[in-house]
Amino acid sequence: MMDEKLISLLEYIGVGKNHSQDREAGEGIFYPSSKIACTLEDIVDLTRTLERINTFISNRPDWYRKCGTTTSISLSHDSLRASEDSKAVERSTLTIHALTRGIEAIRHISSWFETQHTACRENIGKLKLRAGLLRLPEEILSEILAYASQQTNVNEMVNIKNSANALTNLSLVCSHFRNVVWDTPDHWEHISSSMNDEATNAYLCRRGAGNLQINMTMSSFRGGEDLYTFWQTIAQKAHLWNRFALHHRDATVEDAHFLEIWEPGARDVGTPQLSEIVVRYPSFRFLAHFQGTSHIEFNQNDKALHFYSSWETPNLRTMITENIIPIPFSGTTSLTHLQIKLGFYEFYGVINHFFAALSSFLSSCPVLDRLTLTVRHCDMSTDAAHVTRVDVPSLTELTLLFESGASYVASSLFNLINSPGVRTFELECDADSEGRDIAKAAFSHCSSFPKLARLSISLLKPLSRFRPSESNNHLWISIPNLPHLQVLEMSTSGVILKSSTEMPQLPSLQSLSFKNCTSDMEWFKTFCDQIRLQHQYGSPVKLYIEGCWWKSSMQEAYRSMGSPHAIGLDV
Amino acid sequence: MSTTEDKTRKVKLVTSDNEEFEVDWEVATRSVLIKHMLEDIGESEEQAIPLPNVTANVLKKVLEWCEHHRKDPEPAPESSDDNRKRTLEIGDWDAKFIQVDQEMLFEIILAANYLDIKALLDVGCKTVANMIKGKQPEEIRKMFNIVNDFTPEEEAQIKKENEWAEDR
Repeated sequence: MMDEKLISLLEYIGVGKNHSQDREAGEGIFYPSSKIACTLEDIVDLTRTLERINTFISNRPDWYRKCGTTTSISLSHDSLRASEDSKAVERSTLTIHALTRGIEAIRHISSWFETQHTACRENIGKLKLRAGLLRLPEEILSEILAYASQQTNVNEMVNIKNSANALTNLSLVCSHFRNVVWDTPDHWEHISSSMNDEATNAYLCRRGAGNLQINMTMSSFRGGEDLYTFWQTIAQKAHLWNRFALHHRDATVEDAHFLEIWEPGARDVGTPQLSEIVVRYPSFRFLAHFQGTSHIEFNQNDKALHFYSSWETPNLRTMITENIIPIPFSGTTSLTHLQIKLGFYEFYGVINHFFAALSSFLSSCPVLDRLTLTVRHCDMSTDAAHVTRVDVPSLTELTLLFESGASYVASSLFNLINSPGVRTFELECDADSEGRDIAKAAFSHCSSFPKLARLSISLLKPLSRFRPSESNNHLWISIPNLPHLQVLEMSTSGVILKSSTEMPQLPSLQSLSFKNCTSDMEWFKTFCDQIRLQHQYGSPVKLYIEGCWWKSSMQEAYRSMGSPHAIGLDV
Repeated sequence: MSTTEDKTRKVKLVTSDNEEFEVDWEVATRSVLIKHMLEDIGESEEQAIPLPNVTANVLKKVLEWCEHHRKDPEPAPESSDDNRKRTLEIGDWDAKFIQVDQEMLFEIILAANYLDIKALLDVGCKTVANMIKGKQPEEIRKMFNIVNDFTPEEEAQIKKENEWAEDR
């Protein structure tokens, strides 16, 4: 069988025939040379010989033992026998020499065959890979290269830089890769102020028309001149911007001056396609550290900070800000998604104006659909008493994240924003006493969301190592009746839940999820029992448990009670 | 929008090597191409769908993927933030599924492209991308047996353009 394959291989590559194309013909295409073919023919002959040897030795498995070994005799004087034994020793010594040479030859042959075999297999792998790659249409290769150059660093500027390095590496493989990379406009959409003029122009040229993602960081400028040149270049393409991001988060006091230098020249920009603005300012505690002061008075109304407010942005959909609350401007009329992240620290300027500024901005957003607010390190009281309650009827998704303190801010926020259209409400806070107060307020506040369909409450273990452990770790909660709630997700760490009122009526509930709830299961079991009784005659509620030590015992308890439809709970 | 009747319907597919597969409508219509062809031929259940660009062994593998993902929601229309959300993560089942020899990997990619199964195409592309990612040009050339066909000037030009991104 093997022989047939080898013969057909030899015939296929033309061994024994005089082929005119038995050398490399055409760039990169492999044709076996006659020398290679002859060697392969010799290898085939050798293999046949080895196979004959194999047959020969297979028929004589104990050859030496049968013909060469001496028989046992009783020991007595016998010179004739002694002479025969000496001759037998000579014959056996010769046999050993022959066998030793055979062993050495076999070792050598085996090693050679192994080496060639390994090289051949490696080559097959490479050829298969190359053949596969050669067959791919350019749009798929482009997709592969896009995935290969994609970065996932949380710092956007680092991502752009790493992505540029990855694209350069891919472009340097061969001209085909380079052409595919260069001809894919999506690779060139991120224009960064860290780029030199040559790179900026090359990116703009390859990106072509539309959807430019502009990323500026003040810290990348070494002086006003660089800033001015970069701004001039990208401002000419403002009609093509899809996203503008100013990353000022890691700025120094010196960098802050560049913002003031740049802003007057950046007014009244027309950006008809701009759909997203990102503005990240540093925590001003960082700046205070540089200035050697205890805090900096931060002027929320500083015009330079709100450079975007003079821009014409009729298609703005998303706004993401860090350490500043945006001010109302013409673009907010189309805004659907707002994300604000605030690190208060000693950020007195903002904390005093926080609620007023937020109220003012939200009232300027008639179609706002999603609001995400992250508040970190707010451990001082604020006064929201004088701020007018703001109606945001268009809001359907509200996400609030509180880290380190801020219970007063949370409850004030609940009172500040009137959003009866919310269908999804997510809350994340620490599992300490402040966090428990926030969660308690959040559960109660759900009654002001009559359309609520999804509720997710997460109490996370605080990261700070300096927080004292608390002996009283109870959270008395009161979940209101929520007629439209379909999904309830709870993550409570080690907090012990207690119900302060009767169990709520949740007739539409479809999914209940407990994640990382490490206190005992008493409350959860009672809650599930109540829920399943409400759904015993309808569709069972799907129960998901993850990261809870009592998962198995609770699952077993319910499974032993009957089918999901019979008990109203699907575990 | 699929109806209850659709979900019980069987679909016949014929490969380039004339092998016939009978599969559930829900499985077959993971392929946008097949879905559109079924819409074109209407109710005639007996009519087999010819797939001249796919062989039986590849279609078998593709249908295995479609069967596993038959209940997956319809893919959302492409949005402008697609590129920003791109990751190389592959689900556990998909990662095991795609552990095939290189020849089959590329066959699956080509079939997914032809049959218009974006999620499967993504799994294939990510797998190849993972093989390349983070490697130096010389390593990639060696991996695929590719010749460096740049002149020194061309190579220098590409590097020069990237000077701003180099770590100093």
